[in-house]
Amino acid sequence: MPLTVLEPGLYSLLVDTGRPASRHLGVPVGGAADRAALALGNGLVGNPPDALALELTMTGPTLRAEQRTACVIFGSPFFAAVANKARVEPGTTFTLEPGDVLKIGGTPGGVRGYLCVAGGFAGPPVLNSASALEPISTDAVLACAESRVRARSLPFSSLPVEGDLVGVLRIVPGPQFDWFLTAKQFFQAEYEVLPASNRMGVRLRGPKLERRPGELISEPVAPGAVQITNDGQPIVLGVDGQTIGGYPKIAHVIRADLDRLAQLRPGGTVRFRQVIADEAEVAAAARESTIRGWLTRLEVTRGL
Amino acid sequence: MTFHPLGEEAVLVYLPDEAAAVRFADAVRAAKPAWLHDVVPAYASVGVFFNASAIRSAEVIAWLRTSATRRKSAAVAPRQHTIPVCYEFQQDLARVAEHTGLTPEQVIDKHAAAEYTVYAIGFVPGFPYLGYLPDELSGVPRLPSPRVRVEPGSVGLTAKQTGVYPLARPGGWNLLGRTPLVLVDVADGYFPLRVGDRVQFRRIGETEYRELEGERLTSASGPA
Repeated sequence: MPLTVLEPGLYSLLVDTGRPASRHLGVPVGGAADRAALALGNGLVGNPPDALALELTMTGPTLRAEQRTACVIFGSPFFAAVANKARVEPGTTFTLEPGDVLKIGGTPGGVRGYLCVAGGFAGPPVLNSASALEPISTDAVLACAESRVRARSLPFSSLPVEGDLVGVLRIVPGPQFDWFLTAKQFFQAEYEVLPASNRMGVRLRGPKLERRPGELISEPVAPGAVQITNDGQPIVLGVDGQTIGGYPKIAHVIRADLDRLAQLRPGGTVRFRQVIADEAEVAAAARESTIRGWLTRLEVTRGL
Repeated sequence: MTFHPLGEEAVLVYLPDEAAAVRFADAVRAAKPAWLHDVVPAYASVGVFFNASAIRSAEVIAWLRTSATRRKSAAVAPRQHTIPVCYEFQQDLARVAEHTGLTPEQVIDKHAAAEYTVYAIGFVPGFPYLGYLPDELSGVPRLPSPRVRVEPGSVGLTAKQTGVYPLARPGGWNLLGRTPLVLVDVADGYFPLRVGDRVQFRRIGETEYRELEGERLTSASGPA
């Protein structure tokens, strides 16, 4: 009886890296919306990068430990505390003792964080992934092994963003880029992130984009696709986005920026910057290498 | 055949028609390169999803242009499914009759007489987009505003297409009836319908509906 859910939070979901091979069944890839945060959080408690963790959204859950459990909260800097004991620093590992109540509150920035426990949570596999189909609910029991950990952290509690990329997502053109008569506006405008955003898609509001008439027959889509709805507004598909879609796609968020897409906070703003394919590739390789570098450091300093 | 990158982790391929897309998807699947994640046909397009850490889209496109299409893989025979439908559970038959100028009985007869092909799976897990409706049934627009909840098993149509809602969802298609069969069980990995399969509807009464309720598609009327 490892962690019992006293309050579920806004939308707390057990995630790994999802189901990349099930789109042909209409099942979205799913899994962690911020893959880098999942990997680094898992690294801090000695797990493989894709171990099952609890994704927190805006307001976290309250959980009671039934046994000693080594944890970390990584990603957006959620306020958290062990009731009647101590505040929990985001990005620093801590150990819950039997009976401890972990209260995870809101986050002052971003949207999502990951509660990772040593050994990972356990969940039933569906189509080769233990990512849950529904969020946790009150009285649910989150299975994990007994563990303890000394305090350790990275120099940050979420991966730093280069200065000129704050509030900016880089994109490459989408398959229907040339349908849009006012594509220029797409790069000049500042878009507002709407509260209806979720794991399926981030809804934005900005100037209405005009396009040539015509309907698109539904075709495969992927997370990061920037669809323009019939009222000229963008929806950027998230990890739980549908597998096929009929809205024309003006652009696609590059791989290196998909994690930051998942952290766009309702009420905030975002701009788009076009890059060429080579730049997208270099950015992805650099990001992968940075994450791998930190994971390796965590691995080699584990016993120190 | 044209190619367009869909971000950095997929390539979208446009084929001349729906049958060509199914053949192309089968050929890519059969070739099974190590970097391949998934192949998603939808109408006349195919999404090829790959491990972007292992290969770039330009290389995937070059491979798709040459190797994937040169390979003469045996065509995968389409499977035949018969889905029983109780049209007495209709909700929009009058609306469809009005739009098509047919009587309600004619609408049901024509819907059940045609054979359909699964052109795409999506919208929700396992939702089959079936086409195309006979001309006399085509052109009925979606409901002015979608229903908040469409019951699992509901059979609907709009424009040139018909389909079955495998799970409860909001939906704007015109509902003609319901199948008692389970068409999807996500938790159990049960997805009997694939793109390219053939589907025919068989009219049943309420008694047979009750008898079949909850059975899986294969157990009642599996692939022929």
